[in-house]
Amino acid sequence: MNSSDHPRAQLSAYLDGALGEPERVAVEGHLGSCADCRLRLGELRATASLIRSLPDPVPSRRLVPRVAAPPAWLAPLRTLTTLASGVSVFLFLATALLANVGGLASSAGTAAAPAASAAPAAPAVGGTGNAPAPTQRSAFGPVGATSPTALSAADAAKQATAAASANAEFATSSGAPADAVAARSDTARQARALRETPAWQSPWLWLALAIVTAVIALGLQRRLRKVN
Amino acid sequence: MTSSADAELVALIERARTGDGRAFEDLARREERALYRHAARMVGPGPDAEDVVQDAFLSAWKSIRSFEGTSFRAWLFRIVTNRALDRIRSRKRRAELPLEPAVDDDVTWAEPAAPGPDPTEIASGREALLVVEAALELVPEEQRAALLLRDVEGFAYEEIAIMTNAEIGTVKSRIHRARVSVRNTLISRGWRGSGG
Repeated sequence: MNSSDHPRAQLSAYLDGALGEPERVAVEGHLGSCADCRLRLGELRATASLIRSLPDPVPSRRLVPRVAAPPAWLAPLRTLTTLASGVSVFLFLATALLANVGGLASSAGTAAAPAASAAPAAPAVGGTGNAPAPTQRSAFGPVGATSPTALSAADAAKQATAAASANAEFATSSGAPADAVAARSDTARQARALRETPAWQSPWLWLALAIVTAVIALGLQRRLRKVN
Repeated sequence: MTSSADAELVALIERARTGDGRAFEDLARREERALYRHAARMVGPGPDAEDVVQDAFLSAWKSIRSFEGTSFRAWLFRIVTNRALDRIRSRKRRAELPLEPAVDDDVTWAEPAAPGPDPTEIASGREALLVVEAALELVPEEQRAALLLRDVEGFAYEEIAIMTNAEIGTVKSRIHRARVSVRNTLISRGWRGSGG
């Protein structure tokens, strides 16, 4: 049988319902009597169905471009966060610098501290009638509260210094225990100083803020640029 | 699709046409996967296909005002198909390969699969799908585009004719040739057509 006798070229269109009425009727009539064309039609149908059932490839990125105009507040927000980031960097540097200077000052302060800590003892010293030989107890013990005194602050300071130096002599002569006590109170004071630093003086706070605002500003900038 | 979904679509298209970028993005997202699927089967999956779709979206957005048809989906597919064909042609030019020779009107059919069990039969559906993918790659691009638009995306011959700027007779012939070509490849690999 010659292939021109078969409406093979029409089979796909027949399958897709894309033939005009007379052609469709002719093909249908032929199919009724031709097993070969029926087989080929079946193969085409199966082919189409296989193509339809191919798994979908998935894109690795987002393909829809951003074309929507950004909200009106986006640009000012970008400017604001950029400025905030700059200010935070400045504050970070400033607080870091202060912390270093302050650190030096406070280490100097701890050196001077033992003398100052002797001050509460001074009234006690005065109260006991300027006793020339202060004991360790009178120098460091909780005696200030029980000593009524009319001495002026200056006198108290002077006496405190005297008492401290006297005590220092005493301590050096009496050995280690006094040193240990002094060292303990030093540590406690430093810890207290650290705890009492206000949060806004912490350079790390400003550094974190600078990073966060910079990231936001960059994100907003990218979002703004994509549109144009 | 329900009529309320239809109405929503029409409203979105109208908003996009009047310059509402958000409406356009919404419309584009609905077809993103299908358009990528089409582009990937045309130019091969990967960055090229992604570029084709992305460029097509940008070009669609730029010319959204000129969209006057009823099927936004067909319009997008038209742009993607044309971009994909352009890309394939420019690849060929770069490779300095001769263009496909004009094919004569005769469609060569391999003999239908012989009935009965066959040891070389394609064992599983999964295996058949891999062969189908390879077979599609062998089909000339214009025929492939028409076949994919028909079999995968479900467009009518008339729509495909408009989308590919071709006569309806050409579309009919392209789809048929492409389908027979895939069928021939499958048969040559031991596929039993009636079983698929």
